[in-house]
Amino acid sequence: MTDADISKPRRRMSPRQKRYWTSLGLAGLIGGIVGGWMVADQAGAPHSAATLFSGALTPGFAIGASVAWVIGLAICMIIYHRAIDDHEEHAWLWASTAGWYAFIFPAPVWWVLHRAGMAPPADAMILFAFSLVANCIVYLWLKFR
Amino acid sequence: MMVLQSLVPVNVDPPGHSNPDHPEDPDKISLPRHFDALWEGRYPSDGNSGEAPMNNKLKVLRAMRNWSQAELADRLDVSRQAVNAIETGKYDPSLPLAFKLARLFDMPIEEIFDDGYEGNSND
Repeated sequence: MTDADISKPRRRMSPRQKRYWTSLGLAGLIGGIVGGWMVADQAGAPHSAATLFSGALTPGFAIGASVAWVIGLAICMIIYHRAIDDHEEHAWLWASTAGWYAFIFPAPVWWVLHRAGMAPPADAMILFAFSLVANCIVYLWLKFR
Repeated sequence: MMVLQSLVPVNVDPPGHSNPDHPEDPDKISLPRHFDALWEGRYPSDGNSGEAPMNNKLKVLRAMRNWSQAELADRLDVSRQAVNAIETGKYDPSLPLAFKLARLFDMPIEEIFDDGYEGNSND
């Protein structure tokens, strides 16, 4: 958007908004495909939440989902960060900080407790989920409060 | 216009306070007051910190032009949440966005934003 046209209102999505929704749509699409693929990959296993999250996966799915996650996430994040306004960037940065703290505080505690025989082995996915939840809470609060 | 200016407060809600005069903000979320209290520590509203949010006249300037928050957001190419956050003093815009606002309203930045500093004339 140039300085010359900021005096005109627009009803259509701006290029920035298009990039923004493209990144979110692409992320949702990749997540949906990987999630659906994971369910299909475990179609032969007994259905329960426990098997869905901790059951065995085929190597084909594991490699495919890993590639989709890393490459897909990278592409979505590049588009996203080129599209967000500075208010959302502010929310994102603080949310990222909260997510990081939600990892670095519990992870070493869990690790030493396990080594002392006081806790089960540290579970990376639980730490990941905890960090993600902290990230989401702070992001939503700063964006929509 | 004068009536409007006298009716609409120039100042904005300090961070952490409820915002009853923004019924047009349907996606506003609230978390326990502890969060606001934590944030208040970083951005105190008492004006004693250099990081206190600035007061601004955005709400008045927008009302004078009869623009909604969404219309102003369109003109600035930012989200409506960004406009709302600036108006309510929950977020200070970046310098590029402040300049964009100044150009849009055809005013100097310091006439839109006020950091509350009242230095003496010798400064």
